[in-house]
Amino acid sequence: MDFFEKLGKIDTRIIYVLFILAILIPLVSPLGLPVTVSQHTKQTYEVVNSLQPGDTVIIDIGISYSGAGDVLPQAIAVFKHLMSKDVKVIFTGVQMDSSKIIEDLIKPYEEAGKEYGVDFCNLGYLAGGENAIAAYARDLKKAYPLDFRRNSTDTLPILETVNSAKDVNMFIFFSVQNADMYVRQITEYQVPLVGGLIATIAPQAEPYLHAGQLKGMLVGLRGAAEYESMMGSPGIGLASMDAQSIAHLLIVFFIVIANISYLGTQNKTRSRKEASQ
Amino acid sequence: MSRDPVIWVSSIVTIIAFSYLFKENELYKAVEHLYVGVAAGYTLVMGYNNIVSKVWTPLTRDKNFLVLIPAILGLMLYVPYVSKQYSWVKRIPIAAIVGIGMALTARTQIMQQFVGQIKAAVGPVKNINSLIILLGTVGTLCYFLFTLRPSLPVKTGSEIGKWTIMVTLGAAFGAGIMGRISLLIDRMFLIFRDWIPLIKIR
Amino acid sequence: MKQILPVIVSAVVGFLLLIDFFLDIPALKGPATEVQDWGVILAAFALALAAINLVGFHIRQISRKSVDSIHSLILLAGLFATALSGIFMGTDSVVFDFIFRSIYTSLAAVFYAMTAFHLASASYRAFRLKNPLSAALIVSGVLLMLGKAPIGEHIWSGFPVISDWITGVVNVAGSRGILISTAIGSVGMALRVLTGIDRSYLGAGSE
Repeated sequence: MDFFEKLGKIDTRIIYVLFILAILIPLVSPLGLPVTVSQHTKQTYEVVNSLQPGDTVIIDIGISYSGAGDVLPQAIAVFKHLMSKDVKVIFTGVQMDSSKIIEDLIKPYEEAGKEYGVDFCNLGYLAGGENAIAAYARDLKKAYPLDFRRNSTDTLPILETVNSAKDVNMFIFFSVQNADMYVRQITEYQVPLVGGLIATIAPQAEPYLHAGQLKGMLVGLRGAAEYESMMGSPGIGLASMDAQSIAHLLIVFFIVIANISYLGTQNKTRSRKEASQ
Repeated sequence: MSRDPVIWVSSIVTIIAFSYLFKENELYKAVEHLYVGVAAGYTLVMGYNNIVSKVWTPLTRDKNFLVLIPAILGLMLYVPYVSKQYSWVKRIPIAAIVGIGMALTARTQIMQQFVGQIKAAVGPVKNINSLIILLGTVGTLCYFLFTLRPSLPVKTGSEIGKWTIMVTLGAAFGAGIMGRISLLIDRMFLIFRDWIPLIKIR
Repeated sequence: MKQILPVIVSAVVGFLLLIDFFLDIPALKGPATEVQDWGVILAAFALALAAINLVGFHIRQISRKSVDSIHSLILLAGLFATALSGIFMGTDSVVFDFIFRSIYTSLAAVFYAMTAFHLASASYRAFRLKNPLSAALIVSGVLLMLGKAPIGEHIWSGFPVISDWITGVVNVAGSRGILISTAIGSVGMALRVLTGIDRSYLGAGSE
């Protein structure tokens, strides 16, 4: 086997080990690379920042634990922003894991003095996916007779003046699935729609942002890092960026050496064919 | 090291799951089956909670007997487990679920995905980028036209569409890698920060 | 009756929702809201189907004393421990919380995170510059990765500009075309299903 062939036949386990090290080493020993804020995040921050104290928003946590690593830091940062502005938050969820994720999100704020049912509430998971969104956007209390903590939704002060999606000042969603169902079901209520998406599906949602159907969009862990940077409140997002950088570089390196190997062996094969002719 | 049993169990099962990357083994299979079982059990819990909230509460608290209709339809899903002769009955609630889902999606798709996106595509061409977006969108649509005789404009559009789609897929690939790396970073935090405190970042 | 009744049900609920959306008929608002809500209730009932099928399958595996019956036992133990603790003790009970946090959340995350390794391996093994089209795919992916990682702009300040152009211009064009095409296809499919032309969703013997 010559050099080019060897380059293209590296053992998969070596690739895996290098990948783990590329992520672990920058986490153990951070590089401290600064993160510049993209236009997407600036736009999202400005839209959320335009909310006033006392405004009410619905946040749909369409996050499952399988994708939480990429999107949950966004939700943590945005929720922190909203709490700092005394905006009231009604949490809903269309993923089975939503209920528990929301409970984990609100617990620190309850312990810090915010009141459940007044400053926020957890309506929990509603089965049905897009159908669930359509149902609660149309009639919130009918779709949710009880919240996740088994309180009657008729008794929650935060829901006193909120009967449907048109009664809130903004609708924010965090999704590991897609943005399509939110755009489809919420746009008719003419509330500003802001989304936080897992990086994998964000490119497919760009047309909605371009068309103005989404007023803001956060993309993956980088979006969380940028939002934390704008808030001046570093968290998991910013802490992960060095590891993300090195891992990206490593993938690019793999693609480059694989193609050097491919082009090198193609060249050799061509020369051998020409020589034999 | 952490003293929290949740962190210990989480980290150990995570490492066992990762062991599959190097070689499939019996421990991995056990953990995989355990996860499937726990996930299925969790689905049952969520279903139960939803039924209590959506059926039991309206029935007992609000005396809303209309909820009995979907409740009966929902129970019809389980008839095949009780009677083979009447197993066709399960098609009725399935038809209802599909009908409701299809209608809800289709009615808003026309306005948001179809009209909304076309409006944005044919908006004023302010600069080279909006021209590229317009040509790329039309090209992509041409590429998916299989029922028209390929005239020169359609063929040209299709060629533009092909290149646009390739770059779009490349963007999707890059974004996919980004997303997956973030998930792996999250698992690293569990093992090397929460369990074995190698990572000092909080 | 076995074929026609489900089609009629699908058509009635579907067209009720469609007519309610496109025509402003006050008399239909109440029934449409009710039917929408029924969809949520039906989805809740459907959640248990997968679990019941799993239980049946794995009990059969155990009774046959097959090679994997120990794994089936583990699966059933996990299923019943989670379901019974969640339903009878509550989702905030210590037992349910322990199972949920130590097994479910960590394994849900890890099985998806493992795909990162597979993608890394696939990048190395499959991404070859075989022709101009594949080159476009690979180059745009690489430029996007370099643009989105903070280290990319330290290597060259042009990477973020290019990657923003790829996602904000070319990707918008391609994704928009795909969105419009899928919208046309989905609406066509919905009409076929609601009018009973397509009955494949009803399973075998439904034609």
